[in-house]
Parts: sequence; C-alpha cells; structure tokens
Amino acid sequence: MSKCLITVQDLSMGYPIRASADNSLKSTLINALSGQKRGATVVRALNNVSFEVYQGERVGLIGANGSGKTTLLRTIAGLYPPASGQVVVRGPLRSLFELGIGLDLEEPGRSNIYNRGYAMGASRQVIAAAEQSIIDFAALGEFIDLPMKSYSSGMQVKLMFAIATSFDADVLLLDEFFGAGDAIFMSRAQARMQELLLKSGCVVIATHSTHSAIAICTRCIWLRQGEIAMDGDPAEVCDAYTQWAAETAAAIGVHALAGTRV
Amino acid sequence: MPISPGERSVTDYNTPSRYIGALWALRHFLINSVRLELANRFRYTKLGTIYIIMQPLLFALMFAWMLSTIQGQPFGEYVFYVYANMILWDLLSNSIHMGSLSIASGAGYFRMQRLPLMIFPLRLNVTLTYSLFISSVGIIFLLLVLQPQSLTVTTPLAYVNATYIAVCILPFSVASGYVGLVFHDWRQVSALCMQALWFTSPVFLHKTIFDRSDLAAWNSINPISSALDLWRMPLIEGTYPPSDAYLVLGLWALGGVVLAVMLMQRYERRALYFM
Repeated sequence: MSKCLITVQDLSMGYPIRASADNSLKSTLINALSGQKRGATVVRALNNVSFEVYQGERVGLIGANGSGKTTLLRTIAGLYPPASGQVVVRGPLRSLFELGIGLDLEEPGRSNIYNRGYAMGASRQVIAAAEQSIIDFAALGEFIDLPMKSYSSGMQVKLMFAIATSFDADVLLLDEFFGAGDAIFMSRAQARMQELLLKSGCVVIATHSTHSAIAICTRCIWLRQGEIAMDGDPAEVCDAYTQWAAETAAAIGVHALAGTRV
Repeated sequence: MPISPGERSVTDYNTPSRYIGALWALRHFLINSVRLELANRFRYTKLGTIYIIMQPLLFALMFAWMLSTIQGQPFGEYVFYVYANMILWDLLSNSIHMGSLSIASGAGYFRMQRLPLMIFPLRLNVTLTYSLFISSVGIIFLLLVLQPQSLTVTTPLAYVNATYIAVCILPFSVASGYVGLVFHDWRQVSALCMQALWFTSPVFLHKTIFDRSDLAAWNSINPISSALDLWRMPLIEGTYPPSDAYLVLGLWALGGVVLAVMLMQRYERRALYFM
C-alpha cells in the first residue's frame, strides 16, 4: 500500500479580518483609553475538511473563487494555523504559491536559484548539482545572468517552477501558476511532475482550469464554500463542477436581469 | 491513515528544539541573505562598501570639529569618542528601528513556505554587526596614525564585546520585528523611542555629562551606556570596561528574551494575517 503523505483531519480555518486602521498602536491606544473593544471579524474559509493524499497521487483542487483552495494549500504548508482539526505532512515539502515572491529582482536568475535553494534548506553542493538542470528546464539561456527584473512573467514562472521541483521533496503544493506559462512549458511541466511522482512524491494543485486538472491530475477535490463537495475521478468531479458553475451562473444571470427590470 | 497521538507535521516548529533545528537548517540562507543585503545596500554606489567606513568617519570629523570649535573640547580625543560611539549606535538603533520591518520584509519567503520568522531579525542583526566590524577599520586606521598608544591588548576585546552586544540586542530586534508586523506605525514610534534614548545616552555628548546626580541613576541602568562602554573603552581608551556593564546589558537581554518569546508565541503562526 502507498505511503500516506498528507492527512487532513476535520480541518476548520477562519481568517480574522480587521480594518487596516486597527493595525496601529495609535488606534489600539485610543480604543483602550475609550474603553472600546474592536475584535476582528472572522471569515470561515474551511469547514470540517478531511482527506488523505497518498504517494503517487496528483490531486487537483477545483472550486469557485473564495471556495478555500488557496487557504487549504497554505494550511497544509503550515502557513496558517488551523482553527480546529489537524494537518500532518509526512516528508519534505515544497510549495509554489505566488509568482515573483521570494525573488530578488535586482539579482540575476542564477543568484536567485541559490537564494531560493538556501531558503528551502539545501546546501551549496546540492544547489550546484541542480543548477544546470534548473537553467536547462527554465530554458533561460543567457538571461540566467541578467537581473530578474528584465524577465517576463512567463520566464519567472519557469524559473520558479524549475527551482521548486529540482530539490527532493515528497510533497509539492502548487497554486494556479500555469496561466503565465506557454504551451511548451505546460507539457514540460507535466513531464516534470510525472518524474516527481516516480521519485515517490505527491502533488496537490489548486486550479481554475478543469482542462488542466483532467490532463494533469489523478484525483480531484471540488471545494465549495470551504467544504468538500466531491472527491474522486478528475473527469467526473470536473463535469459535476462545470455543471454546477453553469447552473449558478445562469441563476445569477436571471437574478441580475430581474434586478435590472425592477 | 489516521493521525497518531503526538504526531507532528514536518512544518510544525512549535517546540524550542524544532524551532532551533529549523533555524540551523537555514544557516546557508542566512549567510547568503546577509551577502545580498549588503550588495543591495551599496549596489548603486560607486564606492561600494567603502561608504560604510567613509560615512561615519566624515561625520565624526565634522561633529568633533564643530564641538571642539564651540565648546573647546580637544579635537583629537573627541573624534575617536564620537566615531566609536556612532558606529555602535548604528547597530543598536537600527536593530530596533530597521528591526521593526525585518519580519515584514521577509514576507516574500514566509508567504511561500513555513520558516522560523526569527531568521529575518537575525539576518538584520548579522548584517549590522558585519557593518560595525567593517566601519571599525577606519577607526583602527586613525588610531594607528594619530594615537597608536591606544591600541593595546584590550583592542581585540572590543570585538568580543561587540559580538556580546549584538547577541544582547537580538531579542529586542526580534520583538521589534513582531510588533512592527502587527502595528504598522511601530516604525515611527520606534524612531521616537530611539531618539529619546539617544538624547539620554552618552552617544555624542561626553559621558561625564551623564555623571550628574539627576542622570546618574538612569545612566547606571541604561543599556546603551553599558554597551557603549563595552565597545569604546577597550577599543580607543585601552582599558577594560567595568564588569557591571556586562551585567546590566545581560539583564536587559534576559528581559528582551522574555518579551521576544511572548510575542513569538502570540504572533509567529499568525504572521500572514497581518500582511
């Protein structure tokens, strides 16, 4: 039986939302002196979510905006503390959530390979061994020694993806990043993920593209309002999601028209 | 596979040993970040790191000339006093003031992966300590030329003491980083606090002024005075600093550790909520 790499058990999670003016010593002091107590509003993002991800699985997270995909990925990565429930990741983890963050755009790509590699806990020898394959995968050519501010967003995505997938990890978390890559990159990224899985890992990808989810994933989880609406075969889950999205869009359209008439 | 009791995720740094282990795993990142930080600071300057030496040297010369002209203080002695104090003040002041942004400035990393956030104030601390050591090249050179008798066996002690001072200021830098993350106006408030400390510490004004009875009590517990003594006395006066300077600074550092740990427990896991 495959090794269970991620266990998410009864996970609930909420964001405290504050007005930006509340994040100041001045307003805190004034509120304290005037006896006002202004707590943060908590927005529930995940509600009793449970699932497991096994070695060799490529899991796609799909759902509408605000359904909790990114929150779930970040909670698995340990960036957000669960309000209740537990998340356990068993094995080294790599994540790629946002384009361009954690990069020094004044520095050349080569320097950023080292910096990101060090941030992942890799040693100089390990990074040096992976350096050329990262440059080759990202297909940056001479750009690798130019400051990253001269890179297009597609070039940044390629480099970040190459770095994130070049150091051994059991768990890879990706959040909606394919948009900036071209078709050639997409097919190479797919092949790279296949390689990763052969090295006994698992991948969890949040995406809005049902086409990508069906092409890349072995399993899909549809999140709706912070809860799992469906978990299973990518084609079936994506069909159900697409149907629901069409019905919802139609319902919103009718209401909008009704609103216009009134 | 159910979660067994006591099982921890690889991203869970909630015990001191795991936190320290995670920091240790990032030692290469720390060294590289300090290198990048210094490179960025002087990237668009023609003189590069020579500025670290030139800027305090020129300032000390100007300030000492001004005070020697106005107050009749001996220029030669005073220029060393100002120079030595000023470069240490940069470490102390910036640890708090720049420290207020140290954690927030690491958001690019901790929005991507779980990291022990203390790595960012630590990066600032090491950068500032390195800058202090480089700045001191100028004062050593001046001493060699103008006042070689001051360079004695105590001179290396100044560098040991500077490391002790950097370690003692680190918890305050960490605390400032967390407060700066939560309260966005802490940077301005911290600047005011450091200004108040500057006026009440013998940084540019001679320490004998602070021996007055109404200031002596504060001066005896002022961590800035102690730090300045620990650095300046072995460096330019060729004397050993008083042992209570170590004690005062150490006690402040202990208080700083308590504060930093409290803030860490409260805000470490919730850092992203404030970004």
